[in-house]
Amino acid sequence: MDIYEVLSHPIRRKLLLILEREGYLKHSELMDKLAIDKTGILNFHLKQLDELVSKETKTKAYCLSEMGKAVIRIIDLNERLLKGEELPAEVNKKGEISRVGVITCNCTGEVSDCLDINALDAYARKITGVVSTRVLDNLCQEKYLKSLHQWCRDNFINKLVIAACSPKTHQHVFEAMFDGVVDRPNIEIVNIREQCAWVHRDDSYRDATLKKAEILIEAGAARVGLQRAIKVKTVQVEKSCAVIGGGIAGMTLALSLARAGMQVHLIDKAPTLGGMAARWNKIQGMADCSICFISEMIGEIKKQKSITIHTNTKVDNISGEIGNFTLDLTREPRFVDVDRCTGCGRCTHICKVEKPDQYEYGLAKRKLIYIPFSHAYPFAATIDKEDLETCKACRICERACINKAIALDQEPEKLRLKVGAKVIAIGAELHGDLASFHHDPSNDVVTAPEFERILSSDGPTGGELLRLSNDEPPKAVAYIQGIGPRSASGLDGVNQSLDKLLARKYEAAVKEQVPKASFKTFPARTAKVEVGGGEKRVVDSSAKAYKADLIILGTEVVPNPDLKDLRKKFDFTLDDHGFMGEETLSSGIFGVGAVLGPRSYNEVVFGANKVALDVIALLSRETLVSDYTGAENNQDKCGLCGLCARSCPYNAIVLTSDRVVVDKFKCKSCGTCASVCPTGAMELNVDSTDKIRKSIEVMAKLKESPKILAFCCRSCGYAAADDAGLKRLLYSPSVLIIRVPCSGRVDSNFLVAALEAGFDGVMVIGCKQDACRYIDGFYKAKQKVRLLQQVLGEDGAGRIMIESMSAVEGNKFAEVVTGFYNKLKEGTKH
Amino acid sequence: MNSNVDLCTRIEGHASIEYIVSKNELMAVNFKTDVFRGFEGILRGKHYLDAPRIASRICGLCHASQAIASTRAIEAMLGVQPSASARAMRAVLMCGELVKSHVMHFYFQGFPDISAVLHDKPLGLEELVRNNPEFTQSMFELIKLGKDVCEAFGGREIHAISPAVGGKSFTVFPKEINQTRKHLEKIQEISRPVLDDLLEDFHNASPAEDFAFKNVAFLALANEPGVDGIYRQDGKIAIELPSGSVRRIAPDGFKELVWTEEGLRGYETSLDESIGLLVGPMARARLGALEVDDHELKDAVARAWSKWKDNMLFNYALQLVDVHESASMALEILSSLSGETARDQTIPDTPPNPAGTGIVEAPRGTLIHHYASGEDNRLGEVDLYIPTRINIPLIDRMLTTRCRALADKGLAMDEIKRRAAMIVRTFDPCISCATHLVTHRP
Amino acid sequence: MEILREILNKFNIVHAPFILDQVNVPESDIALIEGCVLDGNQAQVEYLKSIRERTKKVIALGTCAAFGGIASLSPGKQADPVDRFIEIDGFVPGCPPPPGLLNDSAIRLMEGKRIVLSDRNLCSSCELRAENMNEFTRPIDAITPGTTNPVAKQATCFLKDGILCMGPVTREGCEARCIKKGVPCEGCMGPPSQEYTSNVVNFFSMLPLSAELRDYTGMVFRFGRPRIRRETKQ
Repeated sequence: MDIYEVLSHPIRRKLLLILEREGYLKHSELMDKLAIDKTGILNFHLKQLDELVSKETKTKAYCLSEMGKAVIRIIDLNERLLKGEELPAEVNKKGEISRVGVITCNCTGEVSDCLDINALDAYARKITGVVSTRVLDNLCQEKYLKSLHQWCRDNFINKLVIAACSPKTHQHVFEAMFDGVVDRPNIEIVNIREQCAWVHRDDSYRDATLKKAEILIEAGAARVGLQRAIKVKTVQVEKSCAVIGGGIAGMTLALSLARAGMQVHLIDKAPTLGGMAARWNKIQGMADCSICFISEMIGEIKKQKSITIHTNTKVDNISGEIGNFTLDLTREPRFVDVDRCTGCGRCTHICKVEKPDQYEYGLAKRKLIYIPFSHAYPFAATIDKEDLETCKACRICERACINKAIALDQEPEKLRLKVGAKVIAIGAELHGDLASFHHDPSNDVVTAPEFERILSSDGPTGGELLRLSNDEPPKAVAYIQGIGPRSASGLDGVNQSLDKLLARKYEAAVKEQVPKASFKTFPARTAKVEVGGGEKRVVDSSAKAYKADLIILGTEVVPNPDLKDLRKKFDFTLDDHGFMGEETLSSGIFGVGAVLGPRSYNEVVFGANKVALDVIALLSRETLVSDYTGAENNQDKCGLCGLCARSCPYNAIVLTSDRVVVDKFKCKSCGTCASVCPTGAMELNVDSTDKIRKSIEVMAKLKESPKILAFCCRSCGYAAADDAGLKRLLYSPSVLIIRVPCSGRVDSNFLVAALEAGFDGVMVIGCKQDACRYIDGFYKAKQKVRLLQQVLGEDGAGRIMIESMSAVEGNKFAEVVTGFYNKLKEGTKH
Repeated sequence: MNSNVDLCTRIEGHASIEYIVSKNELMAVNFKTDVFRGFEGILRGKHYLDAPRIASRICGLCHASQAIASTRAIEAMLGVQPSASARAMRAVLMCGELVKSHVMHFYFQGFPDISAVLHDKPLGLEELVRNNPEFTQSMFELIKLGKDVCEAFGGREIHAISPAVGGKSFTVFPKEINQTRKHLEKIQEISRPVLDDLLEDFHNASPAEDFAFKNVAFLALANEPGVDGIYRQDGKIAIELPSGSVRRIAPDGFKELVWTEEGLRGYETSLDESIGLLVGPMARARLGALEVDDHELKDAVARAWSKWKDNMLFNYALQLVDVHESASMALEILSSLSGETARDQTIPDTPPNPAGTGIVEAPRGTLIHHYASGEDNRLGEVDLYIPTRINIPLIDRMLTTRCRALADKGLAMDEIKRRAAMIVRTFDPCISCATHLVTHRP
Repeated sequence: MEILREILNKFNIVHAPFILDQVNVPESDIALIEGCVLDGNQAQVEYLKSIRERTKKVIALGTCAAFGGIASLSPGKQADPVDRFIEIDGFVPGCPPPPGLLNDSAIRLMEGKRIVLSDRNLCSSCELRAENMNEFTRPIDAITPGTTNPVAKQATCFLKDGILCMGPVTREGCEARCIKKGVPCEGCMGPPSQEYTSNVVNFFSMLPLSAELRDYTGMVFRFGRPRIRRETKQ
């Protein structure tokens, strides 16, 4: 009977569930509960359900048979897991049933040449938890597929041990063969060819080889029995993207996305789009003036109906996951009704109170009610929150506005958005210790942004290059580049090509207006500014002084201070300088522009286009399926010591004040964190500690002496052992191998547990040191082994070894293993 | 010749009494401990700043004395002097430890035995608890007070963490000092009436023959008459020989006595072989270390003492005297304790002295730690002299003499064993301490 | 001590060598066992087995009984915890066991429940724990404060200060008594999971330990040692 076919009808599923809940029900009661009015219909379904329901002869009541109960558990569990429901821990322990099937593949006689395959199968059948076994001649030839699927269904097999060739050879083939029947993590491949039959092809080994194969299968069955269900989650993709930051990077990206038909929410906390570039004279490498370029871009954005603009808006909270995020936003009041304001400027004209204009970096003044700049968008007046009380006391603009647009009582507004991806484009800041360079605009020592304003046609000098002290053109200009924390601490700039670009841009700007003026660039690390006696000098590293009447201080690009705050809401990492780390497609969080570090305009556009492609690729999918098999942190056990974060080669683990966060998209499942977690809170889904410990326990049952347990890393050690098989080299069958993702996964406890369980020797075999697939896992394993050897002294030092070899060094593997075996044999003889 | 080994109950730790019988004649009776824990071996090679924490684990009862003896041995090796406040803190901590240790021994072991001997009324635990509720209540109260003092001045109730090389690892705040003062007063208040009754009982009874000893030398850390010092921390090693003459040896000259390990059978000293060496409250009282201030109490002690001075059963009474007087001395010290900051000593990088000796009077008697300095700030050879082990030859001698006499009288073996166990218990042996040795095996 | 009185009211103490004369092990509901077995001492193992046979619930009390304890530091000797010889129904670790945990456990036992221990490590309840505590770089070269840091009160994580603290690899439950007093944790509560020595080895392999501390076994076998000695064939 095909159980899935039987259960395809909803009435039958309901019938089983009702019986599960009620226990015993008579025929009539069943009809009531199922709302069936014809006896025949119920009888038909009962007949279909066959062995799943049994009937008590005395009371004539129906109930679930043992098989029916098992089916309910499997079905219920599978469905709930498919829905992505988190099962409570105790259900996982009690409710999950393991029904293990064992398939032994003879590999056209390759295996039976070395051991009695029927005896092996007979042993497998007796292993606890194993419900049925099959012996096949050639599993990789898919001719048995249908009958195997049927076999799994008939026996309710949800976990599978395949004793065959190395997982290196056919793991993916085998897993694909059982897609939809047995979950991939629930398939355990036991290597009885390369690491058993082929390396013990000697008549004297025949019995021992069979024993080894038996133990290997038993360990495999025990391991797979402990495999927890992996949550598979399907997410409906929200077809929109949030772009946080309305500067040049954010706008470029928003436009690209909108042109591809995506819904975009462009969010900026400032009252206008434009960002930092709006204040510049020119963009590096472009002839166009910056504000013209920006205004054109804003115009383009206005045209796109699929872009929604949220200015004066900040992000409060973020939840959900890739493909389906929820953003909570607050729109701060601008105290002017944007819909009514026409931007006529009456209010700014009439306003009597002035303050330094932040847009002009304080070089000029503006009114309390103001329009940020001539091409601002939305083009409407605004009042800073800090000035509200002053304005409320005056209200002159309110009376002057003919459109009644002034709204001093405006309140913050809460918004909620659903998006599939989010992009952070909040740019960066310029920061450096200006005081030590005698910054003083009135004495012509200006910052680069201030210099940009001086050059700008809407700036304080109307676009003419004049010294602010005397309104005369400069004769000698000095540009000091890279003032900031990085150069102060002796580090090089993050983006040297950008530095060169900027120097060229300023030199060109000076030469254009004052061709005779000299221009010289100095690196901040060695330059010093001296002011005194009515003149200014820049002293360089060779103590030469350069007289200048205009000094431009170029500060370093440093991370936006808001980034740290955003990081608490978004899951992303920071690089060494505190900029956002570049993310992969899978996280659903992207960065563009200077948020990633100093960027030239071309780099920004290039980056924005690349991210646009990624976002489009993500959002054009209908659903996303996640089946994460990497590290997970169990908060109930975690003591927040941070050792996992310390050990992670990918910085995928972040320790915050109250939890440990694993960046699932950075985690490569090497398990180094799990190997050092003192509480067992950090755990891998597939290569979990309990499975490895169980393997050790089962394998220790092998009655050979001396016996050796080798932990081999997936990419090198295990492959080398396979290579020894391919080369048909010989070594003793009392060598057992456990595959680990990386040698860094090996916990000292595995080694000690193996010795305690009765192994005479334990080995760790990993990649060649600088070729470790997981950066430094092998190094970390070595640290542990060395320390363990040292502290155990004569009891243990000689019984633990660590080796590195590459995937093709089968000869070395056989040699090392045999050498170790002989050494241990000497040790046991005495 | 065959031997019959009996588990010895109602003592701290696991030990037994061995009866060696030859041709139906009881030849010898020995107090036997058969498990070695080997703290000399454990301490050797350990970092010298780590040693006190490990030494404290030698015993759950006299943990503070062990830690302080260890600390002092290392201080001697490093040539550093603990501050006055650290010394005061140690004294109060040792008082708490003594109260708890003595009262537990007195209540669970001494009182039932005294009742059996003086009043011919043996007591089981049930009867002890149910028939004497008030007495039980006050004993439990005392144990708790002792524990609380340990907790305040040791950092935790057992395995104190406050003794640190060169001083103390934390400061006790005035609030805790006041609390401790109340605790100490309460200890005096509760122990006094019990002690009065007990002394009265002893005074009215005649010394029990089973516990009488002869030809014994007493050893204790004691100040010379007229010299001030902290009880159980300061002074010289004093030995009163059976002749009544007293020898005084400076602490670091303790080896003049020539201590040789005799397997598990205690130490051999330079004293005449026929002389038994005794440490503990009895020796402290004898050598004037344990003095009584209160006149009335002093008289009562003196009256009973004159009858019982050569009888081990009186050790129980002296334990209570020790409790009462320790509390009084700790109170005095408390009033001088000032709130200095913790960790006030700079410790030299390498020890200037090749070895160091630390001596304290543990509740059970003189405790000596002697360390040689090794390489890399590690300890070299370690010698520990433990009160219980000092007493063992005397215990064995008393057991053999007495049991043989009882056997001659024709007493049944069971009765002999019952009495032998009582003799052993008067010494308050502490097996965890005594089984420290690793170098010899029987 | 209060709890002992409580126990005396509710239970009969049928066997306690320290306070009772009874020598043979009688039938009982709960047995609390203190101390380790040294070098597989046959008499002690027999004694343990006789307790197990006659007792419904056997509890290992204290770090010696639970992990082997301080005697594990002894060179050439094997201190084994009780559960290497008999099955146990729970343990209360600590040297000494923390009074709070002891009381809780005693109450739970009296109510017929299992002993509950925290699965976390000491850092989780340590007041010195900070957000970025895993980012320490200073070499760890001291085992007690005071030698290099004559300060009155510890203000930051010991590890950040170059002082070895076993908190990260030690089970929570002692209310961080030592740390609150300015003394680093020496690990007496034992590992939160797995075996004692390998737990410490994992930890040490990640620390910037000074050469002096790196080969100091005083911490590695502080309260436990794996039983890995090989039976050599004759």
